[in-house]
Amino acid sequence: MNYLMLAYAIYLPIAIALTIYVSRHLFKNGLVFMMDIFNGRESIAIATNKLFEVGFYLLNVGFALMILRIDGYAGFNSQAVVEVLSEKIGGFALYLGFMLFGNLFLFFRGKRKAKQYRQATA
Amino acid sequence: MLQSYLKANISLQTMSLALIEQLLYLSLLIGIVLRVGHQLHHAGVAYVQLFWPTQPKLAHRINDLLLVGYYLVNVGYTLLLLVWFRFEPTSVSAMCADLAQKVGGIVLILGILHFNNMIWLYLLGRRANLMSHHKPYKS
Repeated sequence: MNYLMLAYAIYLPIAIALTIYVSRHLFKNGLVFMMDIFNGRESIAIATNKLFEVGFYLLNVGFALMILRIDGYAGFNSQAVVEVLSEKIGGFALYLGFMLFGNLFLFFRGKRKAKQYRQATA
Repeated sequence: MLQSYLKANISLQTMSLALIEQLLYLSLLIGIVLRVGHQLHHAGVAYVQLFWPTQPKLAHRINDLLLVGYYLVNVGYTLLLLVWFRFEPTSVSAMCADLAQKVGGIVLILGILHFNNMIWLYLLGRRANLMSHHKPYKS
């Protein structure tokens, strides 16, 4: 039984599914922030949101793939698979959490700047 | 390339796995570049209007030019790296890990370049006072 291939076959779908899950929620709800920042100009808000979403996917899928490699050793059994997978998937989920909060921080900052600008020119 | 494999005394299995890996690498990456390029081009139609609000046709043409430039650069370095990387997988699992590392690295580079473009467009647009939701830039 090739435990390495099993580990890859478990890790990859979970990592991609996590990325898609985080990305869809972040950018579905981020449209509201974009509308606010661009003062209701819908087409530009949607376009900028889409651009950020594509970039987010690229970065995260790239990172997930780069950390996929597992260096197997002689006694690589199913217990080792569970341990290595927990390490990788846990680390990736943490990284996604940081990216999510980083993006939220940027959204809130943009919203605050837009509000300041509106109050300054009102 | 065949000579280099034969000179390095690699087994037939490695050579055929390397071929499979190269084909997978090419198809995955060219597919990703094309799809992402299409998505960015579609989103860019509205985005470039932000920087040239008085000249919509110019903005549209610049979006098309950016797409062509994007294809050139990305397909270019994908193919170059295909030649410069060493594809020597010893087993199927090694091939998967190697492929993931190479494809992931290039996808990561794509993402970094993308955000680099966006940041430069933003900063240069601010400088030229084209972003109406910011205070006027005082030089």
